[in-house]
Amino acid sequence: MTQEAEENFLNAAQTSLRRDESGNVVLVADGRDRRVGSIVSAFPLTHPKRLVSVRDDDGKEIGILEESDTLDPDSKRVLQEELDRSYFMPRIGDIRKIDETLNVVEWEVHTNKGPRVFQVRNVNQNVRRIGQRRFVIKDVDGNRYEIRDWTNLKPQAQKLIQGYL
Amino acid sequence: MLAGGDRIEAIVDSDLLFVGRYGHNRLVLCAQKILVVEDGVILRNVRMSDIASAHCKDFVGNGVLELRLNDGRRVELIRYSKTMSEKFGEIADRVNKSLAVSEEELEAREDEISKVSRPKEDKSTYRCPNCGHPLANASDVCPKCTSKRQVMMRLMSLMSGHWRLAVVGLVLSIVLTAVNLAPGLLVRELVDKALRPMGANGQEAAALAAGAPQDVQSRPLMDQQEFRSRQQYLYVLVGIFMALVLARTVLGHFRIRIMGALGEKLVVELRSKLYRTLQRLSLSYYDREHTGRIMARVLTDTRVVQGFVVQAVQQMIIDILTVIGIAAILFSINWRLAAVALFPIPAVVLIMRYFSRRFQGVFRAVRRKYATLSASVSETISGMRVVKSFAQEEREIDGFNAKNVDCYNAHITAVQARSKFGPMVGLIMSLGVLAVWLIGGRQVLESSTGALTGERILTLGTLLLFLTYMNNFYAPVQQLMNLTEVFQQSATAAERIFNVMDTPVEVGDHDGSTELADVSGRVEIQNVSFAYNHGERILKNINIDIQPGEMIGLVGQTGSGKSTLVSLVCRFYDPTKGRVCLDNTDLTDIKTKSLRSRIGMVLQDSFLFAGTIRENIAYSRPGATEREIIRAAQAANAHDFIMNLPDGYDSEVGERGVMLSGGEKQRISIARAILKDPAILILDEATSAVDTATEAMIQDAMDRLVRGRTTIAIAHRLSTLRNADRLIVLDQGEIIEQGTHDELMQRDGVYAKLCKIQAKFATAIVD
Repeated sequence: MTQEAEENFLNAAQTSLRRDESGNVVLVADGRDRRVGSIVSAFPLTHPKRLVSVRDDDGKEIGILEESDTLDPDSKRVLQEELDRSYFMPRIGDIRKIDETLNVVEWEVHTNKGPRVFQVRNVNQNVRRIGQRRFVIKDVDGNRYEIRDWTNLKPQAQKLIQGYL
Repeated sequence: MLAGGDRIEAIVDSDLLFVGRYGHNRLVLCAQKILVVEDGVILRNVRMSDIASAHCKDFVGNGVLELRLNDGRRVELIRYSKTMSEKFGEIADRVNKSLAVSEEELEAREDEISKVSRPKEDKSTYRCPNCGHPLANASDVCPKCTSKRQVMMRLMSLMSGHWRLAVVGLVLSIVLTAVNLAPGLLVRELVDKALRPMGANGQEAAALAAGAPQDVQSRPLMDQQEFRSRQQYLYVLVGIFMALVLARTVLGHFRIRIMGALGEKLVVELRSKLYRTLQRLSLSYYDREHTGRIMARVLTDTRVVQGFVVQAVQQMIIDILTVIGIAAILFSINWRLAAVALFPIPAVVLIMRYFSRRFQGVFRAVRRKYATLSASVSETISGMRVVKSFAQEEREIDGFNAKNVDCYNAHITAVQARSKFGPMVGLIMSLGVLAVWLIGGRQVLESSTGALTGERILTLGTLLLFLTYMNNFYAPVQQLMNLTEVFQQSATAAERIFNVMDTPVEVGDHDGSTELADVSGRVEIQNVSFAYNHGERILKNINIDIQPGEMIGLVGQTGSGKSTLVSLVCRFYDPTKGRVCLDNTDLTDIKTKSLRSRIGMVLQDSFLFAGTIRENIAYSRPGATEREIIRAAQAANAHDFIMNLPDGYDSEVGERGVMLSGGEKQRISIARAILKDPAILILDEATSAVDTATEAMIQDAMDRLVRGRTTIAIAHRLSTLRNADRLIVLDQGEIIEQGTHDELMQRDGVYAKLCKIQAKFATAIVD
């Protein structure tokens, strides 16, 4: 692999993230401060924090931050906040009701971000299985919801979703 | 006599005369000469010593066997229709062999001849090598000459792994049949012993007839004791019946479970065996077979076979047992009445025979019409753009409606046939029942008046037993009649499956195959010729020596043999002649898996599997880390667009996932190749069908990929090959020019011409 590709990786041990007074994220690397537009995970579903792309205001990649676990605690917090923003995916804890009318499935759920009702069309396509027990559901508007481990849901909820997983 | 003391080696009759009428000319191949005879007249007589070589010239619908003589003359020996071309091809081979004509000579002549005759069309019919029965596909099983029994035996042998289940299922079936037949016997007991009205007994009835009515009325019909014993017997019968019903329920439950499990196990096994075979088979198999047909083997045929093994065989056993059981019971109780009851059977069998033959034709027509209908729908839908752009909607609707009506008519014919068959069989079967009513009824009456005595007495219970069994008799007979068709279908399905499994792997490893150690990447193509399935030669005596790390550009028109050459380097096929070597080892001596692990390919149609982008990039190296995947994607200029997808590298692609453009797919497949880090790289039209900006990006990625690897690149756009160390121009399977870009431009040959044309186009577009 070529050298120029190599330079793109940021070593977490020599990197930190902070917010400036107006709340913007600033990347400190190589002794230089750079304004950060967004932080996006390369593997948002499988390894959300392992390799994240730090971008400037124009969406151009500044670098890829590796092994974010080794960041200092403050940077880690900023990173988590940014990741939660760039990839918002509430976790479903309980399912109250599932209704299907004319190929639209309406879910009434409890998530870790509060109660929510959403519609899913085309279940085959929009309920995606990741691994054995995890599911990611995309609703008609493009919102994402996650079921971490469907076997951990209450028995009634498990019964409700059986036909849709 | 004709041979004149010469040894006759072969005699073949043609089916076409020189004048072009059908008729027979006879070719007699002797050790010293070849004769052609028509009606006892010798048309040709050529001494072997005069012959240089023999060739078949193919034309449309017919062909000619031609001899080249030593003095340069040509002799047309015999003319034949396409049906015979294989036979005369063999004759030509034999002649050439006995003359010891060298292969080079033959090839040279054949190429010359192929320019004269019409290009060979694809062979549309194949014939069974045993019986000559025409087959639709080369891989088809000849239905005429394979033994159905053998196939069935092989099919049954698949069950050997589950013989316990099969035996249990069979035993259950037998017991169930017995349980199902028992209630009929109970009916007789019930009527004759428990419920028999007083007076139905012979003597009492006779007394009645003699005239003592007042007597009967004055005393009770049955005394207390008799009543009680009969009541008890009734309870016993009810109990037995209940037990039978319960037994049937439980046994039935287990039978369905066991047979279902057996069937599923069988079909899963069969499917997995089949799939394994498919993965192992050489690419040449996939050139011959349509995807749809292969799919049908794996999905439909295995289902059919499962249905047969589980249901048809079981049903057949139960039906046969039932029919035999009922007939045995009826005949043992009263053979006279049994004969009456079953007399319509021969007629029913005949009618069923007649109709099943008619049905086959009718239903085949229905299927065909339906297939035409569905084909027309799928065709117009995929061509909707064209339909609309030419405003031909009305015409398409009319066309569809015509086919729709065809389909309707075929169905109506089928319905009409069925509407005659069912009622007719019903009528004839009712005749049996009617006869039992009439004759049996009279016998019951006569028995009660004492007209019938001893063995010939027929009780009411026995009559009811007959009527009960007759109701149960015809259904199994009918099912057995239908079974032949099911049998036929599943035997064919099974044969097709076995046929796939038996397909030899053409490109495989042998005992001496070696693993590759470090590969420097020198590829030598030595005297290589190649023809697909014994057709025309695609490559003719190619010699190329590619140094480690060298980049070769293959240039040439469509059909010039570029892709075929590359396929030989990957060893998707083995050359017909000559050899391909990697680091001085013949590819045929290298384990295919080991060889392919060193070769990376980027093809014109980048194929992505259903799955995430990460999985698709890592397809070439499943153990790759996330970091390696990202680095490969960066090198392929794919990283940025991947990161702009909502799910990044976890985005799903393929039918269920995000839609990627051709250029994006292309870059993912480049990343895949980069990740594999192969010693040899094949680029097959990798930058075609993308816009210029994308091409620049792909080109940039490609340059990085090519560095340090032996590369063979095919491109229509010659600009893509600007980095090639050497360009090789192919035309009709031969190398006509080679050298660097500058050298070839200086030569002002084919390559220079192509370059100028493309440059003109390019400036035209820029202008």
